[in-house]
Amino acid sequence: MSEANSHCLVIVIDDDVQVRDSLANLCRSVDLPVEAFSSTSEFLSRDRPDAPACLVLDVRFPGSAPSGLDFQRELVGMGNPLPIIFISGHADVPMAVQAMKQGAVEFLMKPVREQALLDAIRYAIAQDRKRREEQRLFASVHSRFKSLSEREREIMFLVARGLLNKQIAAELGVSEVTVKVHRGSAMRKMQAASLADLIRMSDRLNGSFALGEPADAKA
Amino acid sequence: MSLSHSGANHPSEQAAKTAAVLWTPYRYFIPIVAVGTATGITYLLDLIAPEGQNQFLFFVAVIVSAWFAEAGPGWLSVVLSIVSVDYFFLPPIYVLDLSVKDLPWLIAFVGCAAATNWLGLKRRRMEERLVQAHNELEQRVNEQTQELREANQRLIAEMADRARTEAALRETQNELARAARIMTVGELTSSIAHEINQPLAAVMSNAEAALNWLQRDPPALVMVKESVAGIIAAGGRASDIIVRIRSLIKRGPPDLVKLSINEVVDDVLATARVGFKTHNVMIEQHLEPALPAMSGDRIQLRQLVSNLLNNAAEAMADVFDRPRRLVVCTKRTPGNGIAITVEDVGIGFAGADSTRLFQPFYSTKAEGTGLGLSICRSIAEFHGGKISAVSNHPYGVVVCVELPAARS
Repeated sequence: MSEANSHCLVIVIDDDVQVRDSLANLCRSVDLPVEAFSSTSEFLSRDRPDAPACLVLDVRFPGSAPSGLDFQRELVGMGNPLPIIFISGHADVPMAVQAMKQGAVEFLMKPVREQALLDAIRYAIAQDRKRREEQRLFASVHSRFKSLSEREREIMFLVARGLLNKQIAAELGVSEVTVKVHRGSAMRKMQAASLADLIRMSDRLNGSFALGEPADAKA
Repeated sequence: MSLSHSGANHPSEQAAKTAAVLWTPYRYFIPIVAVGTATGITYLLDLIAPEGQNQFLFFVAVIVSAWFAEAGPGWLSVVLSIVSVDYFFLPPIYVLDLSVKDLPWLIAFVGCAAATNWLGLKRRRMEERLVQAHNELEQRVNEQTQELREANQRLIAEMADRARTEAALRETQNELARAARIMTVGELTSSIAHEINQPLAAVMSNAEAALNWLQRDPPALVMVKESVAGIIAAGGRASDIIVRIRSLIKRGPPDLVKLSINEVVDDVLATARVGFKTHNVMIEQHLEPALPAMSGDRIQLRQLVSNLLNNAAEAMADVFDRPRRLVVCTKRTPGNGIAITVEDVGIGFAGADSTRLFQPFYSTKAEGTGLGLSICRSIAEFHGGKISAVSNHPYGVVVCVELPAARS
């Protein structure tokens, strides 16, 4: 467990000082690093440590502060998709459905069972770790991809589509030798160990279109 | 107020009876007796003074008959007198020879009887009118008495009615107040559940954390202690919430006792202080010693003070740029009453209408029930007092409750 705990962070946001402190205490008692905040704005005003993290959040916030669900939407909009574990005082089904639809990890009822909460926290942190890894991989692939020339990019995507050198040459109206040279240089620049590796990288780049990263190569 | 009905009618009934006796045929005995008597006395007078004009007694007989027995007997007495005078006293004596020499007597008797009749008639008319007037007056008095009595009864009925209505109204008001409280409780069940759930969640998490700390090798006793302290604080809070709900839905007549308002404030402060400390609220208290005792319901007054304190503390929840200072004072008012004031440095009315503050379901807080201050108002008014709020300079609000002192 401790290897998983090292280098992660649980963020507890609850306006109730007793609840907040008790949740933080519980996390600390199982060696989970934890930070507690009394409001979402207080949380946002701090720098986030660079570590896999998850949020433990009360669905409802009294007063003018946005509700937990609003805050979840806000975080997604900011491109900051921290996994969220919601805690609610009520068995509010529509609210739970909404939270899960918006990508919450877990929707727990107060008072929370220790095991359920800790499981959810571990799952959320694992998820965040995976997401961060994914993000890191993408970032490195993307930076390598950026170093390719226009022609190398074109050839890389055509290769990934399964076209032979001959077919690529015909499609682009260049000689097969030229295709071979560009393909070799693309493989090198992308640090692809094999063709399969290059195809995976291409997929990763294509898959990130949704994130708004323009990695397009029109045929 | 009450007038005797039977007593009022008694004299006129008696008069009517007398009249009935006079109007019977027996009254014709009166002229016979009167003329007979006059004849006897005149006869005796003639024996004593033969030269005197002794027949004047017949006039008396005619007058008496006409006066007391009225017209018919009057004329009978005239006839009897003429006969008697002519027979016994006018020569030739003991001979009934009506002739011209009797004419003066006849005229005198007739005139006398007519005059007496006329007078008697007038008298009777007057009497009748008097009786009638008397009766009318009596009737009017009776009518008015009756009216008065009826009005009186109506008034009594109305008073009873009003008392009943007022009692019903009071009952309804109590019911309504209770219904409002219970409805509110019903409406707020979810938020009460939330309120209870908060400390409960804290208890559970702290307890589980304490177990975890204990299972360490070596056990982290400092952290165990901290966790247990958290459990105790949360437990205390849960029980406070229960007490609050209980007092909210408590039914039953208020229990009025002589009490010291300072004691009430002290009691509330003793339990509230811990909670306020965790919210960084500093409490200052200025309780005037030797305040007059007041008569009130201890639980209600505690609720009043506790609501005021909570309200003030909640108003300062969003205050970070200045100390959260709460001042509670008691003092004597000029009219020998008692005033409790609670000052905060919170958000103040924030544009809210200060007159609406004490209305039910009016709240400046997003999650406020709008009941705290309205409950305060009903408690204050129940104790014959009043509640008001003014802006505190430069921040916050001063709420003042004035209560009357107990009558010694």
